[in-house]
Amino acid sequence: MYEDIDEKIDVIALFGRKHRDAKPFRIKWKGREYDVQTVDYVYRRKIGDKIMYYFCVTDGANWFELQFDSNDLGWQIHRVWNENPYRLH
Amino acid sequence: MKIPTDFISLGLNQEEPLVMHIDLNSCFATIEQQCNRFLRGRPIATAAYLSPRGCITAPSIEAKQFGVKTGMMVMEGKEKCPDLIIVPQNPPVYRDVHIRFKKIFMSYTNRVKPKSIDEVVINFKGSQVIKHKTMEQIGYEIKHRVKTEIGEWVRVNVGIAPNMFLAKTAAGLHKPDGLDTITHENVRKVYQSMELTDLDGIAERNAARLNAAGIYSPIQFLEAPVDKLKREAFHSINGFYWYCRLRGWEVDDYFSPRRTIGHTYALGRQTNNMEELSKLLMKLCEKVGRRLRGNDLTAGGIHVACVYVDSGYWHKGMKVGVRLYTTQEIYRFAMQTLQDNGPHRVVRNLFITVYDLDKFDPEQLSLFDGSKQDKRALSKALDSINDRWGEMTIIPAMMLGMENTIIDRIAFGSVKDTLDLYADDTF
Repeated sequence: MYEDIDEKIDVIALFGRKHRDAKPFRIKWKGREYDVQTVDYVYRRKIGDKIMYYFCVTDGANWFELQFDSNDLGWQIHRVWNENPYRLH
Repeated sequence: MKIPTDFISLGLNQEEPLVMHIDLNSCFATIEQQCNRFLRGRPIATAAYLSPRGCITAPSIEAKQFGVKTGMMVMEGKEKCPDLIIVPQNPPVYRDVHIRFKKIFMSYTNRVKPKSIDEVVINFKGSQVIKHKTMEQIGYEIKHRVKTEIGEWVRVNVGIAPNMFLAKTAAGLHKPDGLDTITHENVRKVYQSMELTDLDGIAERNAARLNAAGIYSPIQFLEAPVDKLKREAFHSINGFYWYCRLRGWEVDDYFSPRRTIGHTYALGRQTNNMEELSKLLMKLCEKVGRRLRGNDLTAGGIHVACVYVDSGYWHKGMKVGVRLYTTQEIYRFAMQTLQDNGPHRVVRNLFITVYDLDKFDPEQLSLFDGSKQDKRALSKALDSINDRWGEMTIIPAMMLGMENTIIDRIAFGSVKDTLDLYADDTF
């Protein structure tokens, strides 16, 4: 099941010149680092004047939805998927 | 429209098939599986509410194999498939996919007509692209582009035919990843492999009408004379339309202007308490009002309806004698309608629709009554604040604490304009 998190995190990301896109590579959350292996979908949502980008990513074992606020350049973990709630690999 | 008598012996349309119908299988569920690879290949379903009585809005292809269907309650779905995974709807991502779809299709021609969030019809008549590629080549190219530009899990059905009806029929022949063409040469063979109710638009009631006229199969339907369809089966012009449609002649490519704007709410906590209902009604009125003003329209009539828990329903519509524009104006008449005839039983669903729509025409200021103009200007100002800072930044006091009560959804029906897609979101 999905669990809403909405916590600020540190992210290492590459902002590409050619396709003008962004790809998160590593995230640090609650003192632990996760290497992003797949980016399965990226979508954007406009909230008022703000544009939020959402990255659906995995590290191979865990699924995260990351939120990037283009207004303040801040990253958050928006949601996680827990096959077994309350346990993250 | 007067029926031209020379159409009576209409044959099969032998024109080149240039209409393409594209639909995304199990749209919401497939998109969820694209976003979350841990859901792929598994029976999942999206639902507006995850509670046992929540309504399933889209089962995945895997869930459909267990008999899970759209419209079932979550608990019914779980009975059919105990391992069914229920996920909440995420309308912003579905809208994003729809926009990407449309971008792909618009790169071929501007004659792209979204039929709903997951169905699009493209008419290639007059398009330059068909000078260099066949329709099948374009179809396969679109399927490939959908996989590379949207996601590898997203598969679409493509149907090609001379008219919209046959193109949709073709798209349904080999789900979930088919590409089929129907022409005058193979249309009979296609009909031979189908039941009457497999035809789009022929559900139980229409099938019963046809049965009553001695028509039991699509082939019999095709071979029936137009007079029989008009007088014995449909008792209306619809018989003629079906006569044309089945033969590949276009009768469905028309523009129907928006006539109503409405919103529905399925109550999580069912009640007949007028105070609670009035709050919900206010939020529905605000959503309807935002869409009305977003389309620069006013309404002359209002319709309120309730479905009761113990079956049965109540509804009432009326012309209000003034032009509705602000949320407060809509709410005043909706509340009046509800109070006059009010629900005396426990309500399960609440509906509000405004109709008799017309372009907003700023009325001449009255020397004696400036307040209506003031209220309308205030509504516009409030809307622009919500546009700037996000939905529900400023709300009527009555809606305090209700921010998440009526959640964002996407309608199943036709898409008249982009505001239908973004009606409840802030994109």
